[in-house]
Amino acid sequence: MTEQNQSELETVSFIPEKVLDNSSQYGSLGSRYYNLDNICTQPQVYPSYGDSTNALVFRTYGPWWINLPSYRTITRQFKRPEKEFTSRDFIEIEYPVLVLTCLTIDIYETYNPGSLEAAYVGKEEEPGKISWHRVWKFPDPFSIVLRNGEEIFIENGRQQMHDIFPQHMDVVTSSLQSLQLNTDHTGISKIYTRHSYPPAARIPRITKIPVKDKISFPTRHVRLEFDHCTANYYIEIDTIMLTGQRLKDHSPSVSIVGETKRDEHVENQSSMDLTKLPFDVLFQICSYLDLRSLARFASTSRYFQRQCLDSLQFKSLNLQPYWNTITNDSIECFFSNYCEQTWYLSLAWTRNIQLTSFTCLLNKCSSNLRQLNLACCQYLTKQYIEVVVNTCPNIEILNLDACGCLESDDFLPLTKLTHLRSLNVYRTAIDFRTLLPLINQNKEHLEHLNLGNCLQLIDVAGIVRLLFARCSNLRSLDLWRLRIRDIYESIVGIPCDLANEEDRLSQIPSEYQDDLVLIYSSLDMPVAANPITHMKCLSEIDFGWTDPPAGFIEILVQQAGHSLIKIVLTACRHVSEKDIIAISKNCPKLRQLDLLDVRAATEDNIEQVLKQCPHLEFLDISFGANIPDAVLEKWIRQYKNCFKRTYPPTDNPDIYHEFA
Amino acid sequence: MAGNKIKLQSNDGDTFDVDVEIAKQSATIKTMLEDLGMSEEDDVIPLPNVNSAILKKVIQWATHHKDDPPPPEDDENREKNLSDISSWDQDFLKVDQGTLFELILAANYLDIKGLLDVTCKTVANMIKGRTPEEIRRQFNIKNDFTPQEEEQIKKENEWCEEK
Repeated sequence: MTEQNQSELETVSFIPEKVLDNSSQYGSLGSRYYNLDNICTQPQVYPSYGDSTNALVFRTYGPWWINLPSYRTITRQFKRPEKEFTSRDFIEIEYPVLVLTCLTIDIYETYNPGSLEAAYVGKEEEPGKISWHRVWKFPDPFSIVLRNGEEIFIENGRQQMHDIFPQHMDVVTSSLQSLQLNTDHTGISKIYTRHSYPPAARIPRITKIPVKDKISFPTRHVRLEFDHCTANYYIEIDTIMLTGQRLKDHSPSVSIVGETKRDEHVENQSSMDLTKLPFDVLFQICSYLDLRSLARFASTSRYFQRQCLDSLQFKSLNLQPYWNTITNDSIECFFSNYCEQTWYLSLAWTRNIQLTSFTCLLNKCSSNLRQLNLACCQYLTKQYIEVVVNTCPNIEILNLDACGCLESDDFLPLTKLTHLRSLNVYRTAIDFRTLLPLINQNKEHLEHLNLGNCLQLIDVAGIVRLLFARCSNLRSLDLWRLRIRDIYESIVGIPCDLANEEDRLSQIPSEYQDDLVLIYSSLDMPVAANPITHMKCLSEIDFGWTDPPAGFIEILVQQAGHSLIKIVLTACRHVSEKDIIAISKNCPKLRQLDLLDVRAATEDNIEQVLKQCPHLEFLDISFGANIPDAVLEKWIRQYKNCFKRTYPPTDNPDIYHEFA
Repeated sequence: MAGNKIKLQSNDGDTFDVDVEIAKQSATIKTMLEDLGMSEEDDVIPLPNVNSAILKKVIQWATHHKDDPPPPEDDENREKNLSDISSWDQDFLKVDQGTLFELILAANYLDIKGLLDVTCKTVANMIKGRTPEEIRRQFNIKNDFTPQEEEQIKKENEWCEEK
């Protein structure tokens, strides 16, 4: 580049104007803390490193979530290997202006960096309609910039401490976060990821994703996807900048990522060829292929088209890896032809599927369909839900995770489903009018229910009480950030004052009271206390941010602790010392315990838990228990546990210092 | 039982002495031995679907894998994994395509699950990630679609484009 040219260039960095869509967030809707909107500011945390409420935080991280029965229930039927797709969360961002020539996407990673999996930029075809073009995928080359401005180029995705600063390794801090502890290694080894454990050196950094010459259109939209299954703790991002140049005339640049041509070697001729293989062998070969490779193989000749595209190859059909390329045409002209035997279908993350195409596909699946994943499908309306319920009455596993487009009324058709085993309505507007009848109707089957962050349930207390009274098969229950109040006593058999109950009902907004009374009477709602909780198989429970009163956990684990493997009590500040001791005495199978900001946690009661829960692999004691480092290190040696301890953003003058 | 041998005969007339335990990795042979009582040393088991060169390879494979744990039943919970081929098997399967397909047919006929799995995975690896034209060249497949059909397939497969 000549000097003359440089003077005509102006490099500008923009901060996001808004978040268009995303798959999950740690923070409560409507709250600023840990909200994805936090990236729409200049850097606030950087160059510090640590846990900040001002950062973007997703709901999950690490292998622990993935390695639980509730998660396996929804993934195990999709066996076709799709190893090109390992994204677990995404965020879509809009910038205030069109950037003509993009240079880099700059991601300010301020806690547990390194899990970025893919980057896209958007082309706005017409207002509101964005087509996404992938510009980077891990481990494509990128660079990181340290606090002193030093830029380190990473060619092969290797970004751990020993890859980039082997001379600065700090054994002590690394050992505090080690994964080589009690963790279920067989489980973890089955999780496919391109990232290492942990994904990168734990230092604050700006990750620069090169975009220059990769797109030939101006843009103001960026989509990032993350694979955080190897992260030690929550990943946090301060902001995401789009850096570009303003040019007087912008030269046409190379189009998007071309396909790399492989070296071909033509094989020797032989009388044997693929067509001589019997159907079942060819079927087995096809079952090892990802969907794209299968379709390409099938389009080589008529013979293979007939042989490979057998409807049994589509018994499970996961279109999530192809969210960006699935079109209405492809659904109507291709997939619908092969879906007569489809039992398990995922359309998660797909966009703009028309009702006619959606209906066409589900009609083919019809009553065979047992599982339907529609996470983040922002095109859904009540009509789609009606199609689901009317054409696929045998659905057992339904995922509507983060379908923020649906309004409360849109969920009502779901009350017709009668075979539900697993329902995920995390972060949706579903309310009691759907949930109460639905729970009652499926009380014998219901095993997994995720109601996390559903802020419009209105009658949370009634819903939780009905679950505890009737759903004896429930295995996992996620109540993350729900306002339960007033109900804890009755779900574990402590008699409660009936006057309180009347009081509670009277506080429900008046426009819902008639509905509530009607539903309560039709379901014969339990009013009196349960003598004991009926859940015999309860293995995962998430009470994060619900703050039950002291004594509740004690009674719950006395009644249902024998089968619990995961208890999340994040920020449950009223949990008492007796509650924690009760966990240690009643939960012999416990693997994961989150006591973040539980103030009753002490050195003594945590040691009790460690001693009596031999399978414990994960224990978050952030903020609450004040455990000296020396004790923690002793415990790690003795109990081989994976401790989690977060800390607010801190600075370290030594820029090569790896944080704990 | 250890050390007992049986004779396997290929379709071109060669016989091979094989440890019973090694031969029993073939469910077909195992059934013959158990159901038909063909356990005497002098008995020769004819394998009319396998030629001598391939049978030799199969025995070589079975001998190397004689101490493997029994192959797991098709695990409901397990994703199919293409990358778990041992380096010995990878070397063993560096053969021309004709041989590879013959091995698949033999593994299928003899019902040796481990060998069938690993040979099928090898073929799948040769298909994975390639365009139709690349696959055609790889396996010498003749494109017999009419131009109209090709146009139709191209449209149907638009979702396959990597963006």
